[in-house]
Amino acid sequence: MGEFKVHQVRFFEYMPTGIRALAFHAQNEKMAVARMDGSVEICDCSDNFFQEKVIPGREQCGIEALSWVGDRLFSAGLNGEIAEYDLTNQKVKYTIDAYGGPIWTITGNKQGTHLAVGCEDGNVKLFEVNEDKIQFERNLNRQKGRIISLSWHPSGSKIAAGMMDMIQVFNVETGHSIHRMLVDRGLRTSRSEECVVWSVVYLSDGTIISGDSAGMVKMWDDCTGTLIKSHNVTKSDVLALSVSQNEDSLVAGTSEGFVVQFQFVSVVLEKDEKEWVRTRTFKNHTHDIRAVAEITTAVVSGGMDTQLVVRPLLDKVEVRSTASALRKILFPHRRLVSCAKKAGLMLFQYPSHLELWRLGESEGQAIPGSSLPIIKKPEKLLLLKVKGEEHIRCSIVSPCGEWIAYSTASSLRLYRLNCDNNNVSITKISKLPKVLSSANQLCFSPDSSHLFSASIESSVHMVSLNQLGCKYVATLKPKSGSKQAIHLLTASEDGKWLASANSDHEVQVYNLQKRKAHCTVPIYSSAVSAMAFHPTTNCLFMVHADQQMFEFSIEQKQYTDWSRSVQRNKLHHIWLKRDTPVTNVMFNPKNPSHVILHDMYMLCVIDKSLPLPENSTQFYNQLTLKSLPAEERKFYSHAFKICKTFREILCVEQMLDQSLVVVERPLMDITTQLPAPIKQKKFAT
Amino acid sequence: MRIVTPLMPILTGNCVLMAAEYLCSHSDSNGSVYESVLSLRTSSTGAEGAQKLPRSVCLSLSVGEGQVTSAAAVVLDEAHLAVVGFPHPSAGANKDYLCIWNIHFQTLQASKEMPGGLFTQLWCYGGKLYVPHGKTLSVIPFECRKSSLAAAMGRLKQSRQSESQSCALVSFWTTQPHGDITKTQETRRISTRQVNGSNVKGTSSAQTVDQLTEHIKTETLEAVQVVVGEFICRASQTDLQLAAGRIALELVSRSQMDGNFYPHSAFLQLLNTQYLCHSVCPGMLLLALEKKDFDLCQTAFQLFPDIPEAITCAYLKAILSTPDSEIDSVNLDMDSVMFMKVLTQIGCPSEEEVGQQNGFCSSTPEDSGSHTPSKPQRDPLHLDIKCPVGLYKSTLLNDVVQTAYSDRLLLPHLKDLTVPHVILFLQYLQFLYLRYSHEAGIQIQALRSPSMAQIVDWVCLLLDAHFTVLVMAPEAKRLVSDLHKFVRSQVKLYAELDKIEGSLQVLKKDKQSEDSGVYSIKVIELF
Repeated sequence: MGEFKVHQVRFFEYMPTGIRALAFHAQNEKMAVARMDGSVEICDCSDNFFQEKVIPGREQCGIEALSWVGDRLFSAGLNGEIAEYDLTNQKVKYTIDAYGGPIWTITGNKQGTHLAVGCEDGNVKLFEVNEDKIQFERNLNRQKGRIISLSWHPSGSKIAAGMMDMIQVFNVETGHSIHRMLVDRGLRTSRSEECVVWSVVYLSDGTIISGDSAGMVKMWDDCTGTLIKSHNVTKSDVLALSVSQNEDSLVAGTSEGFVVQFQFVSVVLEKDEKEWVRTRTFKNHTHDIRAVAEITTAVVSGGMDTQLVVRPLLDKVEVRSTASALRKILFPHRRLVSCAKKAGLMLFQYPSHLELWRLGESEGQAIPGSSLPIIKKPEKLLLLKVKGEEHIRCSIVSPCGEWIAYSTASSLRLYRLNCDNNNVSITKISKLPKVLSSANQLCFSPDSSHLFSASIESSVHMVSLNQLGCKYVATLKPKSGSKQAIHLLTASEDGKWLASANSDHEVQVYNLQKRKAHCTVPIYSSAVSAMAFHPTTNCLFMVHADQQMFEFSIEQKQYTDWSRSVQRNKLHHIWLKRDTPVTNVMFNPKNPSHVILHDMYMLCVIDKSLPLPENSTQFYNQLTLKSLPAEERKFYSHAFKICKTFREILCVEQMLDQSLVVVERPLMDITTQLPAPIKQKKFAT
Repeated sequence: MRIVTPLMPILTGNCVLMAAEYLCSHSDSNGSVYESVLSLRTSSTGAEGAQKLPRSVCLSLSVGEGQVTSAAAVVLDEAHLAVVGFPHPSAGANKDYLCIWNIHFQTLQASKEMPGGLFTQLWCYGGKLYVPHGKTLSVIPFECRKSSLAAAMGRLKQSRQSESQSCALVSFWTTQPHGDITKTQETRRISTRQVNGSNVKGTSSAQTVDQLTEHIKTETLEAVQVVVGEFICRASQTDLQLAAGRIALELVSRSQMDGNFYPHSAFLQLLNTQYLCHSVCPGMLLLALEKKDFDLCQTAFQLFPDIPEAITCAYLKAILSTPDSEIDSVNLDMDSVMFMKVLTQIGCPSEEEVGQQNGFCSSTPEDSGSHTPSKPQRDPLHLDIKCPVGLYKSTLLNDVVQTAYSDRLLLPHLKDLTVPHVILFLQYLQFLYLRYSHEAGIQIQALRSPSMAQIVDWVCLLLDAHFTVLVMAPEAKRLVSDLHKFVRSQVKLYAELDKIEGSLQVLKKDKQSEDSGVYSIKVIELF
């Protein structure tokens, strides 16, 4: 079928940051994930946990807690500010200083009328949630010591606050403290060390559950203010608690990296008397678990080891499917690497800087499976630091390698790159058209003559580039009037077409010559994770987060025959069971029927001329085919050629000389840079 | 309904142990004891003639080599069965045992030797077992306690009194108590000790240890041997363990006083109980050496873990100084002899082929260059070496080589050896070494054989002790130079291997760098 020359690149030192907070929106099945660097990701739990929105963080903005109020997302952090997010445009809408020192926690009531924040100065501050902003209302009675955790009673009349060494229950109406429940300092630590109540949960039956630094999960009665039951879960801290929607299950995350589940079950069969019983333990993390959330069918946890782990609760899963498998989200579902095909350059996007590298060169021929001698090593040409505190949202290098563009939440910058021999210099294009204030996604046309910038309300601005600078050409607007931000942009090889995909799952195709919308691809239930135009036929090839793929003919405005046959025959079950989305689609110029795509664990070439695999056929058949003589291979080969030589792939790109660039980020390299986990006594150590 | 009744036992080679009304057990010649439930009603109507009994195996006994010609069994209670005429599981083919088996756990609960040949009769009446054997009828009162796993494993925590399963008391009807007892004088070694042996109280032996020692002091050689043999057979294992050393000491002191008194077989029997060691009876080995009793010495060297280096050397000296003809008449452990026989014979006719099989050419150009052309080439590695000592002597030497020692303590004693002895021993060790290295692939089956490391250690020790003398002695010249050449060739071999190591390391490094590199250009092929 074919040989590929592959540049295996491992010098992109991508480092994800730890997960600090999780907030689950039950109605929309969205999970908000806050990381240590201040970024917030929105995952669609019903769509294979695809990261449909990413709000980049800022320097010095440590988010401590997240809270949904209706469809609005709020966060608060140690900088003392409360932020509301504009989820449509994927940016911070506004921030308000709470004037209470660092904020440890934020939580909205069930009614959606108020937000409570817990501050370092001992105040619980109530904010009224208005139509477009939040308004400070009042403080509850001030306490000595910081407020670490808060939980509203579902009725909204009481609030429980976890503090140092104690839990306070407030009457929201009066602001007075009703109960003051003292928490034991742990036996293992010295008595002088304060016990931190890291998390509290207030149930509708009046039970307050607390998790503390003594490793205890305690159940309290809010009528009498007494301890009902105490569970020693760990030797270290219980950092996070989360209760299920119907309050019959509770999960606790510990700093030893395991999640403990408690269930509210009747101790005696068929009796109504119920008790919280420790049931299961899940060990999927190596480091502290900073946040847990129990969603409908699974426990989601995240912590210092940067992974988001979705652990299904098999008693709540009825059908065995992809939803019932353990899922670990390690890498972002969008691209952090862009390549200049013609110039052999790679642009790596770090949170607050960009790196431009030139690929190395080799000589001679090599037999498949071996390495070529390297005559020129890859070199770092450029390190571009971002001005200001904001992190980079998207970045791109033009195919010719002469332009670099990046955008943060508030600004877009365009640079012209001059490479003559070994001297690299860049010049910032200073006078940008006003429409290029910021972009959700950027894309250059294949001949590098135009830059496309995805802007608010799903519109795309088109600017032309030349030696002198850039000039606004047009704004492309979708017919649908969708307001959602675009997360994917792709232009066709001949420069006639542009396609955009937004988080409403809409795919718009624009005619660049007429500069207006050409057609809309029928909306599919799952988000597009990668798409590209075929270089010769101009068909749009799309891969979705649920692993389905479609090929849409632009000229005929309908799915192609191959695409229909894929849908008729159904994809192989092994293909559908993969749990990482395809993040890039390319085509083999030597053979127009070849589609190259990749996810985190594999590189795949789909040969559209070959039959699709049946469910009963061997899906990973490369080794079998290798062992067969050439003439017998065609009887056994099918359309999916999967190469698992490369692991933990961040990006695969194709260069002009038809070689592939595979950017790997071995997990081992990430793990070694993580802080040391809690020391645990293991046998014989 | 199941009723188990103690009943009239009937012998049988083939069948039966007659039953009570309802249940009978019977055994057959393959050692299985069966249990059959009989219906009273059918037996009362009983005109059907021969009926096939429904049966279930309740116990499988080992028959041993011989056929079970006569045996008897009796049911003691629902869990216990007394059997005579079957071999004791850990006492070889000797069938003169009364064994009480636990059917539930298939364990031997108690056993007792019944010397004099058993008849196929066994009765049980009123809590006593009646066993005729030889010219005696032993009456053994017994008591069956509730069968439990703890009891079967001998772990029941009870006082010793109640623990004993069956308390045996034998009354001898004949006037002469010891006359008919067969003397077991075989040198067979019981390797597995009787597990439950201690359950049978050994009060049967008429003699206590004190009486025995008195006997030893006064009786004639023959009488002493008989009495000791009898004691060993009779005494329980624990008693024997305590008494063996004392008896041995007593025998040694008598022998030392009386030059004509040397109870060889009694010593051997004591040794074979495996309760002796050198520190228990320090004089015995010296005495044996003095008497040139190589048979006893060999057994002792194989069994004793604590022989002092001085005695090892003395023994070595004795072996080397005794002519082969004298040693060849000694009765030795055949296993070790066979090992040496195979070793000396093996490879002799086919050694040329074997030498070529490896493709190993021993004479390198440098080697041949060092020889003067006039001399016929003699290859030090050539295996055309005859065993320098006789078969029996080599067997004895092997035992010495395998003895534990501390080199610092051995070295001064080794210096006592004369030069001819040292040369002879070295030659023998060289022979062993060459055979071993040549026949490395061939593992000769033997219980005891010296290891390569032991041989090399002894060569080194001997050279250390006598090097200056050996260098001077003209007759040792050839041997020493052979050894030297051999060592040199070995060193050369390892030097060559060292060179290969370098290139292998490079291969390893290449593979590693491929994995850890941050950048590489690969070619992959998809099919």
